[in-house]
Amino acid sequence: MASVLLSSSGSGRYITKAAKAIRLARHGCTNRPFFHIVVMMKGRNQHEQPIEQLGSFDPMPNNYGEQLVSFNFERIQYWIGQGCEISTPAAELLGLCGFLPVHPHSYMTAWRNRRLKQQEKNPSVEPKDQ
Amino acid sequence: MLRSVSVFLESGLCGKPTEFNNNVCCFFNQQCVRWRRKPRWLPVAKTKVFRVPVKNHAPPEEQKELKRLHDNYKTAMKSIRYYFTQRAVKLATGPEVVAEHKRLEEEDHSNCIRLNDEWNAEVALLREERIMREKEAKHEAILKAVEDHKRQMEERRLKVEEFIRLEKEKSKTYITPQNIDAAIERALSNEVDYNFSIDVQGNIYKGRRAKPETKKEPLNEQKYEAQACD
Repeated sequence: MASVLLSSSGSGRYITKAAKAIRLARHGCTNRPFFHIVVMMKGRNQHEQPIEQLGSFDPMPNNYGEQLVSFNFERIQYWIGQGCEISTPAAELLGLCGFLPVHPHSYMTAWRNRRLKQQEKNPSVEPKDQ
Repeated sequence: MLRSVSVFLESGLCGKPTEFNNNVCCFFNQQCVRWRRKPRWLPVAKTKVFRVPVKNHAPPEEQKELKRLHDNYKTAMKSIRYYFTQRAVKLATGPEVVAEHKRLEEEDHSNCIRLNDEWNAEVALLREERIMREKEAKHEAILKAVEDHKRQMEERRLKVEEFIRLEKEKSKTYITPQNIDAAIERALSNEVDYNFSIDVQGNIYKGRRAKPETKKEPLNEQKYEAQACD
């Protein structure tokens, strides 16, 4: 966790030709994750200052059972246009919100969960794929 | 050797231990690094020597399906990425954007020129003032120099005139070919003796052969006696 509040718009380390990625940076604290969706140089520590913050993601469901996520789509479009990579969790979130195609990992998680549920319901039956 | 063999096995590169593996493994020692867990020279634990880690692969149908999904996803992402890149390029180099850039640049340039002209006018005023000031100062300095020069020349002229006057006065006593004989005559007739002598009291006696005037005093007794002794 960064000891100081970092500016979410700019001032992160930016090297023109270095690879950048749209990814999650874990904020929050122990047992209470909270993520910022940021553009950063690839391979940098998540708690360094980002090039830009593009959104936030709260993975813990609130009172209404909602997981809240926010995006700055305009800037995401810009950064994808700049050739940024997208990390798998970020791509999953973007897929679920309908901005990008749904990530295969989301499908996989879904069918595995479905299978588990089926198994719990009917342990004797051999689970079917898909 | 035993260690190298066991390590080689642990790394999962060559399945079950065989004669062949034993022979091969003694030539190179492959040891995975235990990151801060165990020193790297420790052998694999005895209980784990023949453990072959089980890999849990997804079932082949699932693998196939995942591959298909990933391929589709990658293709879609490629085109999306291309679209956004093109859009970024268009935003940077599209004709309207370029025209807008050009307009802004020209506006900025004309603004700069105007500001520059203003500053130049301001500076020109200051400069003219300064030049005038300097010119006056120079004029005064030149006038002063001329005045000084005149004064100096006047002083010099006066000095020279004085000198000439004195010389003219002196020239009355000059010895010339006309009066040289008379001068010689006068010199010879008026011989001057510059010699002198001086005694302990500091009395000066002029003349080459001058002598102190002897006072005719009666000598006192002591002196008389001394003289008598001599």
